[in-house]
Amino acid sequence: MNCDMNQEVLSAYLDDALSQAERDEVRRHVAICTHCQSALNDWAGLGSSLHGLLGRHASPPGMEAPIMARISAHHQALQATRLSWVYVYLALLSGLTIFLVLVSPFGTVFRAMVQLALAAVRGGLHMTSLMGSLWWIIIMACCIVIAGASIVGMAGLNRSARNEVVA
Amino acid sequence: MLSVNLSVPAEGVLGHLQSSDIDLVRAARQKRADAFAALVRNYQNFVYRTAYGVLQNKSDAEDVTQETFIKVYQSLQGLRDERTFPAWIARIAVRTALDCVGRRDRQQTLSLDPERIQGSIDPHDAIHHRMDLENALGQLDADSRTILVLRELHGFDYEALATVLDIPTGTVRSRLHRARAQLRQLLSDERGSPL
Repeated sequence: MNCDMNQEVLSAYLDDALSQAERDEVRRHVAICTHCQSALNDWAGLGSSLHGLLGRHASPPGMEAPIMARISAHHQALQATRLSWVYVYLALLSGLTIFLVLVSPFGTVFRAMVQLALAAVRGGLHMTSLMGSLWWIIIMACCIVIAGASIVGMAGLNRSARNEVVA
Repeated sequence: MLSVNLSVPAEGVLGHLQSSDIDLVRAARQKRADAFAALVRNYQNFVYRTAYGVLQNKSDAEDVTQETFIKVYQSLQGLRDERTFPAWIARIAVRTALDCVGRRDRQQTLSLDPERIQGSIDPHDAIHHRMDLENALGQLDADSRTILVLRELHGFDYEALATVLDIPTGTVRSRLHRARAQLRQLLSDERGSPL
């Protein structure tokens, strides 16, 4: 018997991928065509065999751990890159802020205060040439007095905080 | 009366998508590591079997499986509908596997697992048939193997196949038919008789 059935259509019939009219036509043909019956049976059998064959394979145990390790490393690298950009943005923002402060009216006050500080440092260095090592002794004594007063003050605050009675 | 098994394989693509998987995908998109680890556990066999079906080599299939999940993690934000996750991950797995095939072809390295011996001497009929089928599958071109794996193992319909493979539905039909016809012919040649 000569079979004029389009084999692609027959294959699509196996996959239920035809319109109702096409399905009916194929069904009528297959009922009387042993060639197409054989092809359909073979293809269906191959499909089941393939499913069984490939379904027997399973991923090896312990595959999850290396995958998650690689993802963790990738995530950390991404975080490090993002953090670097945050630092860059902050540096740019700081530079812009300082520039704006300097060119604004507040910049005048800021520049005057810097000059005052520099004048105080220059004055202190000049005192060294006038008084020699005595000046450094006076500086050290002042530092000790200030540090001691701070320690005594902090201790007193700590004591009063512990002795405080909460009503 | 003609009897042909037209049923979709039990472990079809829809069988892979559990309702909990949708929640896992949503959580994984928010970079929750525990959710992604659960997705890996749920889909590693799915991806591995797809990769093995295309590559016919266990070592390459393992590498492709790892690469696939890395790519899934990196591009999960691009998945619009969580319900399409199985087709989406299959698409990534197939592309990664086909890239591996391309690299292998350029290097002209032996692809098949050495334990798959041509012409099995095992008298057990089922094993003999399995070896014949594996050998025949290995002789198909990569595109034919791929579409057979996606259709017969995972049960993707023609629309899903077109999406996964990025080809028109008409091409799906012709490619699937060609793959079946070639496999049938190869098996007939292997066994020296019609199926």
